Amino acid sequence: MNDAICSENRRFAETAASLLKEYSSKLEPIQKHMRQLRDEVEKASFGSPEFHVVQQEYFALQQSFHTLGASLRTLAQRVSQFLEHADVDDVSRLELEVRLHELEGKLHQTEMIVNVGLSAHASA
Amino acid sequence: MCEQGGPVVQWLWRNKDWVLDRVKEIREWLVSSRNPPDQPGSSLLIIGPGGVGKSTAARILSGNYDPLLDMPGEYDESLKIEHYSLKDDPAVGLVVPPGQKHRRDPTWNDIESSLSAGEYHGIILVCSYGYHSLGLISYKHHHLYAGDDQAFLRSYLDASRAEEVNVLQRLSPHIKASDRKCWLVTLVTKQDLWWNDNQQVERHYREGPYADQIGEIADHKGRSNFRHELILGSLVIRNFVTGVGERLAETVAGYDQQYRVSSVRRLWESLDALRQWEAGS
Repeated sequence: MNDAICSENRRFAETAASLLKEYSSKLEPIQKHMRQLRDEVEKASFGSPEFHVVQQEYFALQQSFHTLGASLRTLAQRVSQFLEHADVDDVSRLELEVRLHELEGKLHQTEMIVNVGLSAHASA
Repeated sequence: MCEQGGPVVQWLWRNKDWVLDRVKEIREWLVSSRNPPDQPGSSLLIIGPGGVGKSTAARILSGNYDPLLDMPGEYDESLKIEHYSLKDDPAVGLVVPPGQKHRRDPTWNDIESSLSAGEYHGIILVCSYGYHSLGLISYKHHHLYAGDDQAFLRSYLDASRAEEVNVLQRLSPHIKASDRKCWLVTLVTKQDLWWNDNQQVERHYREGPYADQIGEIADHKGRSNFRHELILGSLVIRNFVTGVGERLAETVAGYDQQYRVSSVRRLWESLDALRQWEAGS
């Protein structure tokens, strides 16, 4: 393998590690916000102006997560395939594996929270 | 308000406790008849290295992908264990763990314990004679690439074939550990890429290290408790292309949809035959 490719692989490993770290930390606030908005929608009195505002905010966050989630899934696949096939040094491999599994765990958890949805009353 | 409605609704409301008890009993009966407590669980394991076509096989067997009507999608690596139900018998679950090496320990350990405990009565080990999809990476970034495309393909196929044997070796002690009668199908996919070497491919799985492993399992479990079937075929017809568009190998000229449909039919027929064998008929 030539030097240019080794250097590209190193750069990929560094960028991927930093992206995985950044987006893992972004998923927790999304989970928290999602739970909070769901509680607020469920508590608001049905049909009130407050109900509509919070319900719309809930749906907007849900939609925004679906878009982000699809990109994060691609990132996870890209890193996974890099780990599976590319020439990666042991330390970078270890770091990428840990960060990848962390991101995937949080992604899965967030998907579950987002997909729970609202009760029939609150989603009307 | 609750007393409104027709006489049936009023009767149900007056006797709601009795009605709820009966509903509960019926629900319990339905659950117990689907999965009797004295019977082992009914699941098939679809396993293999990454990029061999496990999810495609599961989607076909579950009816989520129709090989005649649906277009094959791009390779889409699964990040977690997938669960499906067999189309012809929804009580039978299909469990599909991801196959990448770095995902095996986190997802396969529990599956291997279940295998040892006899929770799977059938295993479909998916292989592809080394043609494991590379996904979103250029082959030039592969650790086996040393500047020559054809030499890379040869080493990649050899390494991937060895990986298929490694997977069988890893599963082997768990299959042997179970007392349960079980079967194993080796489903060799991507026949459209190796159709010209069909006999060589068959020999590869019927003789040599792969077959030795199968022989060891069969000797350990006994012929009446273990059956192995080899199925060669294609679930989709597609050139061997990386996710970044590099073509590494092409579908063999003349391999058409008829061959593919026959492959899927052979898979169904083998599963039916194995399930009959399993039931003792």
